[in-house]
Amino acid sequence: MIHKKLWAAAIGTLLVATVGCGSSKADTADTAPAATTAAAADAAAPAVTEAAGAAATGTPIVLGGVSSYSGVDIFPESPDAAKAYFEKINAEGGVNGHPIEFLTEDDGDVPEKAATGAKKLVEEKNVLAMVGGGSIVDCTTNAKYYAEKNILSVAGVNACGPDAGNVASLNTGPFLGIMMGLTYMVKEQGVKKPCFSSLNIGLTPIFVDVFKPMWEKEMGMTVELILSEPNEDLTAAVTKGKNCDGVMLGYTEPNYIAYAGIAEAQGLTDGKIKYAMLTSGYSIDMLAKLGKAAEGWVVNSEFAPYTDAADTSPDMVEFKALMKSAGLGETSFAQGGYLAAKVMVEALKTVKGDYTRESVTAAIKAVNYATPMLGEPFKWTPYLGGAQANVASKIVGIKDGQFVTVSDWVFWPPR
Amino acid sequence: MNLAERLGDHRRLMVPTILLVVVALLGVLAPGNVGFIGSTWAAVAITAAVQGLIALSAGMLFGRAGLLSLCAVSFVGISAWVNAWLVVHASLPFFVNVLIGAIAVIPFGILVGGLAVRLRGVNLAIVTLTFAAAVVGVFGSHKFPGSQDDKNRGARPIGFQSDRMYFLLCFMVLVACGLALEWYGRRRNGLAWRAVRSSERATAGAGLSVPMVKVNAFVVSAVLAGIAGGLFMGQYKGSISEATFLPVASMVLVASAVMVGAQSLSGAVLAGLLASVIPEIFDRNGWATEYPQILFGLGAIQALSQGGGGISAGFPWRRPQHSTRPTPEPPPEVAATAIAAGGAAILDIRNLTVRYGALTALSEVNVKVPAQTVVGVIGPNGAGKSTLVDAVCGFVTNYNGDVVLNGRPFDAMSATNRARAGLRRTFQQGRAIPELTVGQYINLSVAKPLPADELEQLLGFFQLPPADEPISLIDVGTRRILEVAASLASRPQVVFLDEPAAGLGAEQSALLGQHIKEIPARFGCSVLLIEHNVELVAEVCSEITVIDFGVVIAHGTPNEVLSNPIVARAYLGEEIEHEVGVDVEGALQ
Amino acid sequence: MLDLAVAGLAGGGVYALIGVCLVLSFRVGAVINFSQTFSAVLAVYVMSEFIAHGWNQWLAIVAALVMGGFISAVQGWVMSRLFSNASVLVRSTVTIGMALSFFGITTRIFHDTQRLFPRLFSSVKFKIGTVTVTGATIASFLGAIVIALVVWLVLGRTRVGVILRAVSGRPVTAELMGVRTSRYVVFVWTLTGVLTTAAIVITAPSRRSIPNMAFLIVPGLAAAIIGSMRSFLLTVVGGIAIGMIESVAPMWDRGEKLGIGDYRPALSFVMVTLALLWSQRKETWNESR
Repeated sequence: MIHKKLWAAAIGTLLVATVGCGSSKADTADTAPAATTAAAADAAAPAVTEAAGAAATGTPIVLGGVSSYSGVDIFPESPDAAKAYFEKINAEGGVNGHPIEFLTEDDGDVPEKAATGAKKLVEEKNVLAMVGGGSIVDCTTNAKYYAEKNILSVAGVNACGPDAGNVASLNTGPFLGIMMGLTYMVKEQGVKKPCFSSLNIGLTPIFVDVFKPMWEKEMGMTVELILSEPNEDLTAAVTKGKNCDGVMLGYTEPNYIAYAGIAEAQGLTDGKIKYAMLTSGYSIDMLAKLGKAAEGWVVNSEFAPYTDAADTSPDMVEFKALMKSAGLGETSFAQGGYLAAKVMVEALKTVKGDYTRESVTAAIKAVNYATPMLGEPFKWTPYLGGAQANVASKIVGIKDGQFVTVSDWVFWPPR
Repeated sequence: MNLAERLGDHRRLMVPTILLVVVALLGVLAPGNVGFIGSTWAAVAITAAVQGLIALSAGMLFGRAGLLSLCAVSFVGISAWVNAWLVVHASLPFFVNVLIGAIAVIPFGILVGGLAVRLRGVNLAIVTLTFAAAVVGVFGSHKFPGSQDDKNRGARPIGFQSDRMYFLLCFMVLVACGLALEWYGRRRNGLAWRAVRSSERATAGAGLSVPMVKVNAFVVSAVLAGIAGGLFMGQYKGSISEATFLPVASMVLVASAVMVGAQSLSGAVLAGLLASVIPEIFDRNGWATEYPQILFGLGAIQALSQGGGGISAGFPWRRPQHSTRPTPEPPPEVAATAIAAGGAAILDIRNLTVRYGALTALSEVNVKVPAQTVVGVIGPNGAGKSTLVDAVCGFVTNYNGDVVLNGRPFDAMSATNRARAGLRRTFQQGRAIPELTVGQYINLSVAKPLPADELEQLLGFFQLPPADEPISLIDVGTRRILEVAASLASRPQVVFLDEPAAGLGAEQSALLGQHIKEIPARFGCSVLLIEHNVELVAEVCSEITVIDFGVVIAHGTPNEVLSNPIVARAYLGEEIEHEVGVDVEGALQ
Repeated sequence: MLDLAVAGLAGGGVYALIGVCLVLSFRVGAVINFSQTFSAVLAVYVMSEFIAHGWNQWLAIVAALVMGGFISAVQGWVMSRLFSNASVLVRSTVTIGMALSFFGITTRIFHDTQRLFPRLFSSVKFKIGTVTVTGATIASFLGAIVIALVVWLVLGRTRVGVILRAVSGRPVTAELMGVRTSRYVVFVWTLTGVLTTAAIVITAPSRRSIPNMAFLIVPGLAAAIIGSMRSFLLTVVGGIAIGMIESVAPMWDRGEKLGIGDYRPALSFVMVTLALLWSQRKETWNESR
């Protein structure tokens, strides 16, 4: 008897807990990666369109994306922004009358799931191209597979080592981001002893093996590495950073918050040591969490900075309006997803005749899309054979608790 | 005996075999889209097979050997890493890689298992959890070779490139491993796992080395995980990272293995299905991926609260069934040729003293056991009788004095080696292992299985049920007699029977006394009997030693001893106490 | 080097505190509670939610301690109702099931949001030479030592301690002597729940993620093994040693090539290995015959 009651209690508690969090998570439910998303998108589209008029009615153009919705490094912003843009296009009549069906798969930030997800999209759902993916395992895992299947990926946020022919990503990416940040500190802030502080996981080995020597050769100086294990207290890393006069931080959001707190506690935030973050640190949300410890830090924007109030280019206006109506935050990852979707739609518009994998692939390879959001027009010319189609970024600094743009476009390799 | 009988009762193998064939056929022949599973179902099926193998590795340790390992997935990872390295640096055939991967984890298995050999099962969990954390950390700075570039990725063997064929391969490997484990589990080494789980003392008492048994179980488990690592590598064609081998993955695995009872092939197949299909269903429906984890966690708790057998314990073919063989015939009677007291001592216990801190449990005790006799040791509760057995059999090591068997000093030997050298014992509390059959339990105590006729004779003599009767289905009194029989199976020189009649009815204990009397003549072995039942002792022993407060207070023939007033005082005084004690103990139940 | 060692005191104190709680629940509750940090992490994340809603940070911390104690108490109650006669192995395996459930629930509710954890005692900060000692370091270091001392004294020197030890050694006998065993078991679970939650609260800002916090159980277990699952004081020494070595180890890590410091994730395992090799020199048999 006791046993049964206990089990009833346990299951009851769990139900309450899960229902409770289910309701508080209503916003994630509609971004859930699944085949059902397409149906939801179709259903939602007419509602949005009432004002705009004719919704698309033709056979859908099926696109997919592998993204990290769960796991350690998550990038849902990119596919969410892409999805918002596609919904807008569908509501306005689609591409040449065809609605876009956008399917996403969660890779959980692990290669195995990335491989399964890509397979599901390519072989089971027969997507015509991949778009808007936000993941740092997708490219390293699937580039070869995409090449085998003759399918292109225009990713929003992605990172690849060399040789990733079939993936081009809109973001500048962590590797170029690190090199740009280091370059800025050395050239503009007079840093003599630059360090790179990061976790000993994920992409770090690729940076160390491939990109670090590249930067050192170009700049004629060396970078000291400070690597922590992912589960370690960052105090040791912060303390080691005392030996440098400029530290490039290659982390994710929670680590920047922790790092800033420890640096402040250790009395290292008086401006003697310069700090730069990757673009993951570039969100309004982060400002409050970093606190005054991060005053004077700089960060990569990767695109035209959305915090630049003076920027009223049509794409920036559209991006901000879209994020607002979709209930998404403004981040550079979202910019990547939005631009990836935009590039894709530009390409799809040029397709004459049937939408097939071949015709879509040819169209993407031919696209040349210029926007003030990018340092130079998007073309299918992956840099170094790597995933980054975008080799430009702007540097933003934190001043009086606000983001302030402090540089014009910077490029890698430097121009 | 044909193969099916050796593997167990063939009736019992039929249902699971048919099920396995059906699963395999479904895997290969099913159409492209089956309901919710879609065309990537074959990949899900591969996951089921590989996860099943990993579950077998963890379930076998927990279910059979009572060892809790939290690094099964780490062994998979190490093997996968070795496979990845081989793909990049050597071009060997797939199966050779898998084999090398499985062998490569053995040293780690010995290291981790060896660290915990002298600890109870749960401490192994601590060692393995820290090991799992270490492995993932080291993978962080030693990436899977080839995983970061596109050139050298693992491949599947020729003929098994497609998901369907690769599933078939993995499934066949899983079935082969399951059958091999079943076969090994019925050999002495495998039976010994159950013994270690049930009682480490009894394991050593049966002449088995507890550390070796544990390391053996751990290594077998590691090899299973190692094979899974090779298959895992082929499954994802090299796209693997350390994130798959986090300690929490091993915890999920252990939980699902416990929930299902993955110690057998059928349990492992079910565990594999749960571990692949449930997350897939959740994923397809866009439900949170954390729910399966919570489900497995609660499922494991539920299974443990129900006795720990897991879901598969309910499978019809896993339920114990009564033997259908005839009851063994008692052999013709042999005249009990009791040898007169005072013959040459085969076992000589000299000046044995045992101290626990300030307490002296035994003081200068001398006992001689002549060849082919039954001698008794009696004394009130707490007199030190069981301490005597423990010390002589090597379970108490810090004693003073000498134990000499057949002129050979035993003092430096471990309990296991003493048992092997011909000194066996039974225990006060029953130590029969319910998961085994009568015959398996007896063969556990002998280096080589008894010939069928000899086994039959032994069972017949003690009027025990047939060899294939599960012990779980026999009564407690019979189990005690079975323990006596098992202690004699290896033909020891001296056997210590520690209160063998405790818990037996009057009739059963009289019969046991008769059997004990015949032991020297039948088995050529001496008996040292420790009993509370004075009548039984007087009936069967040629000599009796009386101990009280750790000191020998009397020694002689039964008549001499029982008429000794000192004994009467010590013993009768305690008899009264003992009666009271029984009542108190009865009240405690 | 010295400043790294001092920085390691903060982590070491937390490991020691978790280790002390593990030893306590093993000695009194006859269980190795693998879920100990997992339930505490749930409480700490709920705390961060309160803080995000504008609660006073101390109020939120008190709420977290209450919640951590309560969850743990419920676990102890389940344990004493369903598994009071089960072996240590079974009971400990049950806690693995519990750990997974808590991990799943916490991840489900909180995984996708950036959390701000209070940086306690951040105003307390002083310098000895080049070494900065922070308030959190002092709190966790001294906290671990004081709590270990108190637990050691209570268990060894008081009547309650005698009863607690009786409860673990002979639960049925203790029950017959009129001791309400389940009450004491629940009490100890509550206590370890509160203390572990406190440890996680202190270290949360520098641990950053759910798995990082939950798997603080690993160095905690290593510390407890150094104390042979018996000695509170050795456990504290072990925990602090692990924290300091871990902090100093990056001194020897890679420039371009791998150094010994790169193997520091294996530190807990190495410490456990050494402790076990030492404590298991001789063959021993368990007490029951």
